Amino acid sequence: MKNLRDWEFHDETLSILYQTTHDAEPPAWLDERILTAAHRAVAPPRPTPAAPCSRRRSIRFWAVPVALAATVIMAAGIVRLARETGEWAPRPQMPMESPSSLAEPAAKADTAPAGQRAAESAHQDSSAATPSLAPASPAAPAIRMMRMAPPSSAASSMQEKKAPIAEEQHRQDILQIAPAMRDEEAKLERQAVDRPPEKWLADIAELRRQGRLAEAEASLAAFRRRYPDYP
Amino acid sequence: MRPFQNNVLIPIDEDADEILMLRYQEGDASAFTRLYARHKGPLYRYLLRQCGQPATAEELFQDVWLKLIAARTGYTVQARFMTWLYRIAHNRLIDYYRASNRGLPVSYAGDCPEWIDVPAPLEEQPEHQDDRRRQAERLLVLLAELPEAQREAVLLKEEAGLSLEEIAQVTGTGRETVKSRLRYALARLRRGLGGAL
Repeated sequence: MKNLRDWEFHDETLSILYQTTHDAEPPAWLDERILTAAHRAVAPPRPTPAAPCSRRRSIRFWAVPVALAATVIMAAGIVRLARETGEWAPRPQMPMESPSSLAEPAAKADTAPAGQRAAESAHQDSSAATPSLAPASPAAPAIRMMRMAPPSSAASSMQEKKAPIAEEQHRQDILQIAPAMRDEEAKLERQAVDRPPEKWLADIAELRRQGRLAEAEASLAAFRRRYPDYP
Repeated sequence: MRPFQNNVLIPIDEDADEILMLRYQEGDASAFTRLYARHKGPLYRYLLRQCGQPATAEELFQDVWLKLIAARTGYTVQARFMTWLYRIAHNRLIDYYRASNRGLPVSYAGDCPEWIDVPAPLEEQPEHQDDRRRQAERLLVLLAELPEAQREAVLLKEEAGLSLEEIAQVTGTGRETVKSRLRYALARLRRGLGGAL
């Protein structure tokens, strides 16, 4: 401050007089505010509560393994369900079928001879033993729907299950009886065709006399087909 | 004193401003408390005399200290602590002037030698003031009437005790400019106080 001692730049009397005005000070609240800010700026970071931190850390630690495990379980479940329902089985090498052609086997089963139907049925039974390799039958969606039905509709689904089972049983019985019936009819027809016309007409008359009119009519029709020129 | 950065001498005294600031930089909050207690009055009065309103002075005062706290990590002893502190205060004051309606005072744009001849208003002349208290009050009035740049030079000398070079450093001007401002300011104050001194 030597260079301020020059009278031009320093006046001792003025300086002393000015120092008597040093009563102005910042208010106490301002002191407190600034000191608080200064202390907080250099204070060590406040430790966060341990519990939430450790919980968050444990959640972060387990998140990936749990997600992986859930993914594996879900994938296994989907594969198992797909195998059970037959969706996982490879489709047979055949041309694309229209919905009408898919319905044909059922129609053929209804119109086909009993022996053929029995053979098809046997084939179906044998293929049912290896479901994973069998082509999806037309009834498969229905079976899948039944399996996927919710437990709340268990009673109704039981009734639905019973009806097809009974129907299937009846069909199997018919198919088992059908060959024998067909052989019997063929034998009688061969015997009827081989007898002389007079004997055949006498048998027809006998049937009419016994009241078996339907059989008599059927036999007469067969007779006319066999002997169309008989007077 | 021992040499430090840029050939600046750093005091060995543990209670020196620069040492206290370095200790605060390292996390010693008590060092800041001592620094603050030492400089709060002069800095507050410097701002109060410059802006004239206690509320504004308080706001500026707080800003200056908060800036200093924020800038502590980059602090290096390249000059006296006082120079650094008042440089922050000067810059904040200039910002305040620019933000106010009247803008940056003309006195900061250049020296105004003609102001030395402008007489103070008659009612402000201390012809009948006989006690020292009233003389001090008169001095404050005269000080308030000075152009801002001249008043700042006086305050930096009287409140902060800065040298001509340090005032020049704080205000970003040359040493000769500071001399000129002080010369005009003191002449006007003497004339305003008249024969009371």
